[in-house]
Amino acid sequence: MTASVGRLLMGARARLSSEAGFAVPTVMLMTVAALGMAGVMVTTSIQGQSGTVRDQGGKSALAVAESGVSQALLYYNRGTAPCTPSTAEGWCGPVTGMSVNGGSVNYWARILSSAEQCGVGNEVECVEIVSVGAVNGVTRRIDVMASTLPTEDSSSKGPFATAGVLSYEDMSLDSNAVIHTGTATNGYLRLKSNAKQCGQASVGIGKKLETSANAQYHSNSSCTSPSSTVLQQELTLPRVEQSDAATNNDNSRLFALDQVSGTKSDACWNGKTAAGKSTSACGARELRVDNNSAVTLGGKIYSFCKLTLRSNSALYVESGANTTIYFDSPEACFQSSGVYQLDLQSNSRITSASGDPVTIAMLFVGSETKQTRILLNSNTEVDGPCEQNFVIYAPLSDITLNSNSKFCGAIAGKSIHMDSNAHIWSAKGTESFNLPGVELPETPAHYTPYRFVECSPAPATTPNDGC
Amino acid sequence: MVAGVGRRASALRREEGGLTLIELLIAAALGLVVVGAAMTVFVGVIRSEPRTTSKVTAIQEARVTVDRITRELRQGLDTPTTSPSQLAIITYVKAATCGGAAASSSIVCRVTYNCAGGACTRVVSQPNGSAPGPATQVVGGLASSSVFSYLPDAAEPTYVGVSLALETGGEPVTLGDGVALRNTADGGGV
Repeated sequence: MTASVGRLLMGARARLSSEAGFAVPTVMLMTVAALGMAGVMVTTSIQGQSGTVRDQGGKSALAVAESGVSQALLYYNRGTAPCTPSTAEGWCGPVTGMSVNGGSVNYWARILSSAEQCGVGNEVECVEIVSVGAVNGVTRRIDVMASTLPTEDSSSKGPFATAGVLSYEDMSLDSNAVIHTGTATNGYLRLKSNAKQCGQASVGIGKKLETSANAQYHSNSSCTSPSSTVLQQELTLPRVEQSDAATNNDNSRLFALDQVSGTKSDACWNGKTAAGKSTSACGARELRVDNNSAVTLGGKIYSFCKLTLRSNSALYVESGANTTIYFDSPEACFQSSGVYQLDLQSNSRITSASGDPVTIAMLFVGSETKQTRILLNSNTEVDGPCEQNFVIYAPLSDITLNSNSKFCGAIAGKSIHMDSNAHIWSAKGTESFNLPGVELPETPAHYTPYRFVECSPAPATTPNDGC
Repeated sequence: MVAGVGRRASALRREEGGLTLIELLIAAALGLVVVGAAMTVFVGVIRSEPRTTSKVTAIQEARVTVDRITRELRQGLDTPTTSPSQLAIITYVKAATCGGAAASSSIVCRVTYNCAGGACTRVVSQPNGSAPGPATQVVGGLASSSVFSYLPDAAEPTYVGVSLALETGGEPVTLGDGVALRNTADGGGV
């Protein structure tokens, strides 16, 4: 023991008396000092960045939580619930949602059972979704309530229940054209050159509203609420079912009971003028009226191949009548592709004979293979005092309104193009119009969020505690 | 070969002459330079530490304020007052009564932020603006009172930007954020 201590002391004395090797410890000391200083700087920098990282994590977690709400709403909008209720309050979940941005999401959902819980109104249905998103250890929890639209009540299931102007493909408005009602299209809605869409618009999935050259979009029909929010939804337009209307109809009334006012030779139907002379001016089931003359319809169902009004002519409908005019397919009418089945030109008009409200539906069977067209041009009118229930329903026809033409009612086509100061107004009652012979499938209610609240991060006894 | 290396190492260990004084001088000089540099940095850090701390505190305070404003905007129902220096939001506040004590559930109140004189205050009142609570300063040391920006316009904003420019002695440090309003009629929800 004593010997080993002595060796240790001698070794230390030798090391102290030695002058060799100081450079290496000095350099090592310097290196350690430099590393320490660099470490302090790096630590300080990391601390400074940590707040930014936390902010980014919070935003990512919030986005992930919102994705959970969207996933739950997708279930409800498909007509199913995302999970089975398991609590007295109707909550179901937690459902593990699809991972987004490397985060995780869980959500709870329930259908609100009373208007009081809903807080929006008796006429709507509501759901509540609580979603928790977590990204890199940062958690955000949100509570979202969503309701159906008030217009989706059971009495308004017709094609025009939510919008007065419908097109299966693109809809375009140009040169001061204006729509004063809601629109829905499966394609793009394009507004150009001072055109206005006044009323809530919806476009197809993945499509959008495009505006240029002073065009405007307003959410109300009086064009006073500029908006940029359009809905995206799929639009379906059922085909026209004319049943036996082509053979069982009131066509025989024409020129017999449905009289012509004006010059009889200016009106022709089925190859004959109202004066009884044969003419090539109109073919089978074609009605043509010209030169200030007018025809007044009093029947309930007509089957036309074509209707042409020219030069200040008019088609009147008797007061109180409820008239449906079917336009047969171009194949059944032996018409070529591109035919104008409804052709209104030069100040012609279709309206109520007395100004009293009437209901006129012009339903176009159309064709999948042959193009059919509808044209309202040059100061033509389909309106009256805009209290009429006028409907043009042509899911396979291309519709053009041009040159100061005016339409009051509801209109649906394969495509719709409006130009040169053309106007469309909505008419009372068209929202409840139902297609004859067509049973529209029950569509699931569409829920739209109306209340968004951020909650404290961790749920307690019930999912929406702390929200 | 191995024996030769061993002998050389043994000779080096016994070597005490020649270069050791020069080594010591060089090492000392280098050490002085390093220690001097370290001391300079250290003194600089020590001197600037209070300023840095106050700047970090101000940034942290501003960060919390921005977080609070954006949260209240995100769940806002309406923005009755919109100007660059003042913003009133009808929003959900976790309180038992508007302006009252904090609670776990949310109620609808009006929250007004007013930025002037280098500071922003927050007032909670009833949704119609009545019964305002006390004004609480939420951030100070601002270089500009122009804090809020609006898209598409201030009349009916769907997006509100928040920008706090902090006076730091040199170039102002700006914290910016912005949110889309979820609960407004045009907000479109989630």
